[in-house]
Amino acid sequence: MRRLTAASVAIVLAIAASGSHALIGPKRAVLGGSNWVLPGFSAASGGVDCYFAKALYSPSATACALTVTRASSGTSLLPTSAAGAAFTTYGNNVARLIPGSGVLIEESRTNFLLHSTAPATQTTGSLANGTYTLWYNGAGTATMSAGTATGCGTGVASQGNSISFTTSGAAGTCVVTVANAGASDSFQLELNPGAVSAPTSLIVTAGATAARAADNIQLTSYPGVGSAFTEFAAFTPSAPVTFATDQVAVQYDNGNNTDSARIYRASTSGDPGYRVIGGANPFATGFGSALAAGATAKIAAAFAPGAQAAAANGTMTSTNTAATLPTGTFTTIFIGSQSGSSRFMNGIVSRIAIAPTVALPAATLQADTNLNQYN
Amino acid sequence: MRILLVLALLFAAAVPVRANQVDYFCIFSNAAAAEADGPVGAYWNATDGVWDTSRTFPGIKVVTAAALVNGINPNTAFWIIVSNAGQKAALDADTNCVMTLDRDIAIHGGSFVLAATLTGTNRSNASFSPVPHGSRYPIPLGQ
Repeated sequence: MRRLTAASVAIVLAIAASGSHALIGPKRAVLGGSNWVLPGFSAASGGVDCYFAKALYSPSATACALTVTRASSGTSLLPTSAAGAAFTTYGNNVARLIPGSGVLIEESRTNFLLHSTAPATQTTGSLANGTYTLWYNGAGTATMSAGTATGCGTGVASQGNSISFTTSGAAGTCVVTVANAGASDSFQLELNPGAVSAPTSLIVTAGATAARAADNIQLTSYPGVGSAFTEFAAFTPSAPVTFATDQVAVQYDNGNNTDSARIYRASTSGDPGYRVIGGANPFATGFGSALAAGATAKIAAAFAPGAQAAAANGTMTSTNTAATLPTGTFTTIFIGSQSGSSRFMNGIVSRIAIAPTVALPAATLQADTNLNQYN
Repeated sequence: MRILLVLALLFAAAVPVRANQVDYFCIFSNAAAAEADGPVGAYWNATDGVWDTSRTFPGIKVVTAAALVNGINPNTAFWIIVSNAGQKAALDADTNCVMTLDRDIAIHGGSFVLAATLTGTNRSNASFSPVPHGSRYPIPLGQ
């Protein structure tokens, strides 16, 4: 069977309360072995290192437990997944922790095609105007044609080749014609938030269109924050570099983003960035060059009053001199979004680390983000 | 065998039971009215101008035979599902929320209508879309 439940995949001893999970995944951390921890983020120095991709957690799995709010199921089948790949379906408020990859974090989307795991020719319901992406997984193809809408186009989606189109004028329908569908095929038609095509994971539908809620993910145990601190994240974004919204990797936050400090992939350029919101000296700094879709990126940023620094992928660096930081109001670490409400990663966060009381030196930031180390 | 049973019981006791997912179907004349509503508007982020889509499904379509629901044309209304693990007292008391359904009970084929002011066949013949991914509400609801 292609579809698996989360419970059948992981050997989990779950300490679950209101959607929080102590992450003790298929691989347990070697007792006494901590040489995998990123320099500067050791437990001895008060750091937290959550290596989701390898199920390694320092100082403990409890410190890396996640509080998840997602009012729907979600799957692990991506538009880039291999043809007919088996996928996991995760229940409401369960982290989509993909062994070997990390935590999949996405914004809310709707699949406008029915019976999405048994693709068949169909006419959509009335579609609001916008830019849609059609993607197909498996042996068959799906071809667009006009129903009553303007702009359905004639594109053909196939394995690994999604297509997009933009409708305009009066809302109407489109026709999707399926050919040569295989037994393990899936397809999805989703509305992008803007003009850039950025498809997301499969939403399984039956007799009605279905919506996947957004992944609001926080560290259950807040590590605290001093006057200076450092953030690290390794992530793989799915959206093109031109996506119109920043994609947040990790964020210190006061609960509603009126005060926050984040590292992120910048909108429209895909550049690495670090940013402070709120306080007397907010700033947003992008640096270096674009982080490609589908490629793992690492960003580390150190924040201290009067001196901030960041590094990405070992070679890109930046400094800043904001005089003050709004750390006094921070209460939460959000992973993969701005306050759980917007600027979602739309990709996989494989690792985060927090040094809550120290701004690590630039050399450490560069070393920690070196793609060839600590993998 | 006894050891296994004891271990199983200890494990079960250590794992808290998750609350069922509860879906509140709320109707407003327009989106602004929903944003301004106390209990439902709590899920509206006015700073960013977005709904908390980790817990809401704004702008769904509900098909019902009722000509008016709460005095509002259901075909042109702004509908929103507010969904949480467990019931919320503020939403229970919000008269704009005309139907409260237990998603987990529906998955198991039970009586899933917890509360409703949308009654009779106006509700039992009603359908909605998009449905929350993973839900298994009958189409039409049938209850």
